Amino acid sequence: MLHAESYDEALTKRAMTRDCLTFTFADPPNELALETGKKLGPITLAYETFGILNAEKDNAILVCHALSGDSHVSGEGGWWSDFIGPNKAIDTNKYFVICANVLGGCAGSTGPSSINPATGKPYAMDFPIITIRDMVAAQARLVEHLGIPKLLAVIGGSMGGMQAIEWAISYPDGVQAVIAIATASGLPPQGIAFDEVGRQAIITDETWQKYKGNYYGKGIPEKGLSVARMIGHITYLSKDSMKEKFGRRLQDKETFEYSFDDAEFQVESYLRYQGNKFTKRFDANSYLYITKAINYFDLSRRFGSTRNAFKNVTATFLVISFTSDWLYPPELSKHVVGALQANGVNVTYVNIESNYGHDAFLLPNDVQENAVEGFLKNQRAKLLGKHDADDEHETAGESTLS
Amino acid sequence: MQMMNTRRLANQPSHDHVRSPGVVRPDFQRIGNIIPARSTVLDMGCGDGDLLDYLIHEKEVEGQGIELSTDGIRACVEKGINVVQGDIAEALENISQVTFDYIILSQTLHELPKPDEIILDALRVGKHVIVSFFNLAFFKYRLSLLFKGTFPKDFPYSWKNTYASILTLKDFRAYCEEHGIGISYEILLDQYGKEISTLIDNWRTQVVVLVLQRNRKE
Repeated sequence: MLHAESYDEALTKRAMTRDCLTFTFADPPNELALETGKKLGPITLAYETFGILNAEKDNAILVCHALSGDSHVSGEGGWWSDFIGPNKAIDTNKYFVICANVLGGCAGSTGPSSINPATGKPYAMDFPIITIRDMVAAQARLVEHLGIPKLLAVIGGSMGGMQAIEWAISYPDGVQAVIAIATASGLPPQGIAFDEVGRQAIITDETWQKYKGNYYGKGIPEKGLSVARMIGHITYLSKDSMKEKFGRRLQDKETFEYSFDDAEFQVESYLRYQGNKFTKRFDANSYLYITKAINYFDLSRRFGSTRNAFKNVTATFLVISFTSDWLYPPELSKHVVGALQANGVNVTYVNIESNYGHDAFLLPNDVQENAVEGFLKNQRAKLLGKHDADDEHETAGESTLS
Repeated sequence: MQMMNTRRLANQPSHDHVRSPGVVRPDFQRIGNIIPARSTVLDMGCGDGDLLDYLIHEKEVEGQGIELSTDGIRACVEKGINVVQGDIAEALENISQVTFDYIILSQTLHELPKPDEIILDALRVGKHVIVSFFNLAFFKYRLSLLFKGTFPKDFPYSWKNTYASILTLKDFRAYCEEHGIGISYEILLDQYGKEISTLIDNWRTQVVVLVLQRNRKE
């Protein structure tokens, strides 16, 4: 099974009946200062929590979603339910899991489709450019609002992994451990190229053009967004997973039609279906803004080198990549690992054998589950050990942990 | 080679992870004796992380491992050891300067395509390099070859799944001499895991543990 089906299914079903908490902050004149120098406020984040925050408030894990995700990471229809939930790799019986829709998104958080309080109309293209750093700054406000002094871990894949890395850089005291999956310190030109084709498909869509992006209430740039999603899906799969799933098989027919009308090949049919479905749940302008944020993320440009970027990092890292991921290939993770090591950061790196391409991180995977579960367990043990040591210091008792 | 006792992560909380001193491999103990407390250590080809686990708990070292096998990685993660999955040569290339007090190559040489290059590169990023290997000149191996024409059945690795690491203590000393590598410490273990120090060491030694460092250039 390819992720796209269950993942998209879950997100689509929910798009209309969203049921999450919200947190609004940065009310004028105290707007959030964005990385570009502009200001944005008020900002609302839609978020959900799973599990119970303990009395010490030290069992919280923030999950950062990727390009098209939302806050519903676990539970019925959650996009990472195989991975996060009661007795799962991230066990919500033990951990308090938080997931918020990103700034710039369209699943409840402030984004281009939100109403601009200054005009009473949707922001559309007046929405300011936002970056991964801005997304994380907004999450940090939410974490603060929830009264959590330090997260046990931040975890994310793809763009979520960029956010997780950003957390360790922007808030070295705010997070004990980072789990960065199928991600990079900067997306290579091939990835930017695919994103740009997606954006151009949206921007050149006739509906988008007609309203200069301010299409809300008037129409949807369906064709453009659909094509953008089709391109995206190609980059999330691998040549092997495509071959396995579709081969050269035809859709509901035995012979060629020699026409352009219908999707003849199964792979065509799949992409059209996915593209179409995406337009029902995702805002085209959010797609523009979020892919741009991914493309702007470049630690080596910002800090002179990736190594420099990690100078003040104190979090312990678990980095995971997948052998067949050509959008965020293992080399990018290895680069991050090398730069972390050069700074003496504790890091574990697992390069998982998989045929499922970039999508692999969303699929059930024994190795990923074990690695994350084991890593978190040891992070928690380290924390408990510290508590014990503190207690013992007070009572001058004997140490139970060496 | 070192991939015994791999367990599923979920079943073993780290608190329950008990190291019984009775089963510590003799070369582990010797390596532990060499390394000063709280050193920084990189174990290349760390397997399931038993040596690092031992050093972290007995010597409070800051330990890190490199391992290729997924089973090894799983076992290390379970123990809470920082481990990087990958090729040793590649991992070394990623390290730009002297970063570790000790780099360990514990019975890994035979798994490397170019062990000599790895040793030299390890000496670039580590102040000391500890190598341990099976000495092919050990008298039992010699006798087996002489009388049976084969390696003994209990020889720890096979030509089928390793590089032909036809290495003896004497050969290795010559290699160090040739490359200006100083041997600051030699531990030679016989078949019972006991240290030996006689003139006919190449004959009696089964496992060799050496501490190397780059001789200062004049």
